Amino acid sequence: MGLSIGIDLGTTNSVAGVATPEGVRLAADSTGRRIHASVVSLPASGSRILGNNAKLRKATDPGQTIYSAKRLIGQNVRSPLVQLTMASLPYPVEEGNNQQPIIVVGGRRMTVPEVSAMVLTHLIQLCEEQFEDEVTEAVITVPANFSDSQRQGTKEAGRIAGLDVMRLVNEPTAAALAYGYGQAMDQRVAVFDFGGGTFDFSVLKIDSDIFEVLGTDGEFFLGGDDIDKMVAEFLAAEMNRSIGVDPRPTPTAMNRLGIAAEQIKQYLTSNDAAGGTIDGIVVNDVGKPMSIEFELNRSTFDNMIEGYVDRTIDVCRNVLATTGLELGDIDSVIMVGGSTRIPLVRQRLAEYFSKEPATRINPDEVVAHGAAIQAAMLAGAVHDSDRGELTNELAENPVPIDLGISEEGAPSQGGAALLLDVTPDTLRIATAGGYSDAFLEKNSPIPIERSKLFTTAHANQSRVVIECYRGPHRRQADNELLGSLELNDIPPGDRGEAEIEVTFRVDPDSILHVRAKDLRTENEVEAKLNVIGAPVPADEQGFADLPAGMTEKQTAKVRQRQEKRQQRLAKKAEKERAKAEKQARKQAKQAEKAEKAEKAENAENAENEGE
Amino acid sequence: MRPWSKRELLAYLDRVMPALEGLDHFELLDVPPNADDKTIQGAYHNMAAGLHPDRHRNVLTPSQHERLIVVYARIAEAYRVLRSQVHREKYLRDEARRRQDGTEAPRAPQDPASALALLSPKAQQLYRRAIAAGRTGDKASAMLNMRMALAKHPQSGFLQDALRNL
Repeated sequence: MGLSIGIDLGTTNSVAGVATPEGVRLAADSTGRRIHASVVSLPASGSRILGNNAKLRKATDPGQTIYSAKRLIGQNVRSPLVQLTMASLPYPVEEGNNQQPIIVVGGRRMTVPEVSAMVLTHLIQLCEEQFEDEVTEAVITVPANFSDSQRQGTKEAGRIAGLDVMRLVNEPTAAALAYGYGQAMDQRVAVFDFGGGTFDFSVLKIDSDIFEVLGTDGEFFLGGDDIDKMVAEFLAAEMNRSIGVDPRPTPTAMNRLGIAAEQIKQYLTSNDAAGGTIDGIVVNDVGKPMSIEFELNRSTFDNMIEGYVDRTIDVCRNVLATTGLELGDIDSVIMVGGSTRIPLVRQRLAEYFSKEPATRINPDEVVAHGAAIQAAMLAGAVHDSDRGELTNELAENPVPIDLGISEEGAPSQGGAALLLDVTPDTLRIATAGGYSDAFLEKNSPIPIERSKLFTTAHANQSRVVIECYRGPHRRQADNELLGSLELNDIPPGDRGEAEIEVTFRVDPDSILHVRAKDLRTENEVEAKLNVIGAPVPADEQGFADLPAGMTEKQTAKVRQRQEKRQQRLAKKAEKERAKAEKQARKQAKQAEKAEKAEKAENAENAENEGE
Repeated sequence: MRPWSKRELLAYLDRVMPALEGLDHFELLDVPPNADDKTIQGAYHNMAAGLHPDRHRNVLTPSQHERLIVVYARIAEAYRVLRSQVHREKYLRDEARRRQDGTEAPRAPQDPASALALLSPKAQQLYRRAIAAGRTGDKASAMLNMRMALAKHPQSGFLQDALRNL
């Protein structure tokens, strides 16, 4: 059997690992690094460079090096925030069908899931090399506030890479799992997930092996990348002031400044001031490279980012308010994501919660740990431990992964863990007059199914369109439109006579499915919402289009994985069919038996009554 | 907390699936109508521990697993409503109005077949024995069996009514 891996597919960096009886092992690259840049570089030569090697090319080959694809996945190209992101990216993004973004590099047009699939392929390859087995299935983490289309885009990326995506798990939930797994704790924990691109905050109740999310909220476009951009803007202004050259209209220059900004930010984590010279950002009129001198101390930096930090604390406050919890109800605070290394973030967090955040687990790796544990839970298997390397903290304090599931499904002592997650936003249905009703409020447990009766707005209405929104507002237009569904052939009748049952079902990946049924005619339509900005789903059974820019060998590899996936699916279906047949035979036999027994009983009863 | 065995799970599905539409939120979560927040959260955790679909992914066939997800999604909905004071009050008002209007068919507990289907096999047997004893005029045995059945499902309005009618 193949490997079931956990993947933290991040905006800037990704991590992948496998759960073993000795703990989670993370895949390292040839230089031993366990954190891999989510970057794909497609040089004109036609080759493909991935991961940390590709990151180096952000400065040297910016037009053909794709990063931050996660910010575009499942997004509507026309949304203002996406337009803003696109403006700062050095590679061109165009509008594809269904308003999805298309990345254009070297004349090749790629969907965002195709690009993310390349990042996944890199991680899969590292896992396969290190753990010497084929990767077949995975748990992929996503920001808790990811929308339907972003989740669908992520699943599509997995499918293109030839993976069975067992589950999408919310990043903060995965972090809590890594933190509380096997610890037999009874705690309320707050997870503060401040990553490269997004910010999430969740509160969970850990009740030994049950991890229940009580509430979650977050913000897109709030992460380390935004802080880098801010520092880059500062450097650009300095440059304009000192040498009279404004690099801001030049994406290449801003890109280089961004790379410098990231280093300055990291330097300021353990130092009070940073200063020096940055070379080769721009060239002057005669083609001579110009360098700039800069100086940035911690307090100026803190002032710059204060607004961002305030926003994260506001989100924490909101989550506590909606869950009805007090600050004192939180037993521990878990930090996730590289941006939690910033001293100001730690300081404000400690002040707000009046306690020191937990640092037991590496904030860059904790999400992948949780994903790997959940992958093991869902696969019901723990992988061979003879291979791979233990991560440092686990080597010191190994957490055994013991599923101990017996034949009958009853596990032995502990070992199991169960995630009970929630919807990140209110799901709404359009009503008359431009308003909407909450169908499932934010923080509803998933998977969930709720039905409600609706009726027609006027007489002899033969068709209704059910529009679904996501967001906190009563007014339709203030929310995000998820999609719509149509029910036709409603028999004529008075206003309010029709009975239309609308059912919202949120699946375990937090994706909404809607169906509508005319109770009088039994007409039913079911739809996965056709979500704007989402990848247009290909035939589930068919082969996914292969990402461009792969060598023949790589293509063959992915193709092979896709083929194997098809075979597995076919095998599964065949097994299920056989089982269903067997079951049907069994039931027929039982029914026959029951009929006989009933006859006998009737006869007996008749006799008794006759007495 | 222990997941249910495959046998327990399938027996539960067979019992609950046919009666799913008639079950109210309290019955689905298996809590008394006056349950407080803590009881409701505890009941949800118990149900999740026992029958959450993630815990039975490899034990059930895909179609059995689908059925389990359907039932579990209803339990989650019951939890969503009952844990919130606002939702719970609205739900109780709606239920009361529906019953008063008679716009809806009588709820399951009034329908012996589906109400019976909700009980555990042991309780069903005890109920049948009680009814049979009642028919033969053995009131003492009827009461005893019905009380034993009720002890298995103290919240069952159906069994309470049945005991009163003996």
